[in-house]
Parts: sequence; C-alpha cells; structure tokens
Amino acid sequence: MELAVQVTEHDGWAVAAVHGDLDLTTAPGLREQVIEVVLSGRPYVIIDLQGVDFIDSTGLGVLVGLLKRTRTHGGDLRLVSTRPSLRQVLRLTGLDHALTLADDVPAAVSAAQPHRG
Amino acid sequence: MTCLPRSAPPSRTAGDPVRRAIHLELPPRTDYLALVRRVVATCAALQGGLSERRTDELSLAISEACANAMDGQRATGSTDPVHVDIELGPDALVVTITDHAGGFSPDEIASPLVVEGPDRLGRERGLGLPLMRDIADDLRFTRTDGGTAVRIEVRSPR
Repeated sequence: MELAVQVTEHDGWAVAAVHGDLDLTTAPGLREQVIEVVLSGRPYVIIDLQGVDFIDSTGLGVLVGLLKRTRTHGGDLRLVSTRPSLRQVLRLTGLDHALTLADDVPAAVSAAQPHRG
Repeated sequence: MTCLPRSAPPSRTAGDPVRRAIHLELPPRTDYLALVRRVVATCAALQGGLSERRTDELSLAISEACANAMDGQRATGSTDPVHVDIELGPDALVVTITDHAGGFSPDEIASPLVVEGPDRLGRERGLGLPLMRDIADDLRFTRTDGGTAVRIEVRSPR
C-alpha cells in the first residue's frame, strides 16, 4: 500500500498531510520525507494524520523519532487528527503524554507543549 | 501471559456448536499486513458484537503479531507461509498466528509500558508486544515445531 505525503506551510510550520496506512511497510517513507524537511531548515513540523486509517507500533515509533529529531534541531512536532482510534492508540502506549495531538492545523500551531516529567 | 507447551488441538465433541473459521496462509512479506487487517476487520463486522473501537484494536493486535512473525521469518530466512486462523465464536473472536521463525520468549522482550518517566521517548521500538498485551482479553504464546503460535482473543466490547 502506498502512503501519500504532501508538505505545505502554515504560519511558519511545515505541514505534512499523510494519506494511507502508516505501518511497518510505509512508515520509513514518512520518516525520510520529514527528516528531509527538517534538514532543509524547517524544524517546526505538523503531521496531519486525518487521512490515516491505521497506524501500528512502527508508525508510532517513527512519530516519536521525528519528535526527537525536530527538537534536536530546535523545533517541535505536533500531530493533527480527530480520529478516536488514533487518540486511543496514543493513550494505550502512553505516548499521549509525549506527542501533542490537535483537532486541526491552526489548533496544533497554538497548542501548548505537553507537560514534561 | 502464558507460555504453554505444544498440545494437540482440542477435539470437538458431540453437541459443541459448529465453529466458523477462516484460515489464511500468507507469504512472509509485510506488504500483506494491510490484507490481514481488512480480513480481520471484515470478520469482526460480519460477526457483530464488537464495537468499532474494539475492532480497530483487534486489527492492530493482529497486524502487530503478523509483523513480528514476518520479521522473525525474515531474520531466520524462512519462506514458509505465516498461518492466520480466525475463529468466530458467539461472543469472541480468536485469532491465532503461527510462524516458522524458530520461536522466541515474549517474556524476554518487553516490560510493561512505561507511561510516565523520562524513558518514554525511548519507545521507538518494542511497542508492538505491549500493545498486543493491552488489547487482548487473552494472549497466549505457544512453542510449535520450528516457530511460535500467538493466540489473541478479543471478547465483548469494553
């Protein structure tokens, strides 16, 4: 299955809109594309997962890796989705404490970082 | 978590309800994962009784188990098919994934999920097994000849 990623810009944030299943097969492609964005000097990244029907542990791992990558470059990473299944899987893995999930792109831009520690 | 010795399949006795079962044999390639998820989700929908959320979670657990099986077989070079057996019971879905990856010990792999604490961002790998543990109402690993059978049971909505 193919994963489509389209990168646009919003308020100084790079927005990567993803469509398809984010799994073991497709997640490395997303990682490569977002790392390319970060290395091109845009470390503030929003990943719009509204078009993602399914995410597995590899997909979640890639999101965590990208969060660390953006912060290493002085930026940040935020997620967008209203899908209950994504919220649930973030909760199950405890990653809701680490990854910021907003309902839409403007809300992601204005979202506070989750509490650390 | 239970690791059981290999045992014969349960024999059906007179009076047991006939079990509806679906059997898949998949090439050990991860690009078949999406197909497995669709089949499991469709079975759950046809069976009824599972909420949409539980169906999504079941698909995730099965996908993780199949990914582990395929990863394991890639590591050992086995090209044997991965078997996926879906049993549709009156109030449960039981899915058993059997690989030929030489067997492993799940207890050596993952500790329970650490939700809080500084190492949570270290969780780039190894999330699959904890997710399966969390989702399944019952999860069993059995050693087979040359591999592992993972039995995942999901019962009523919760």
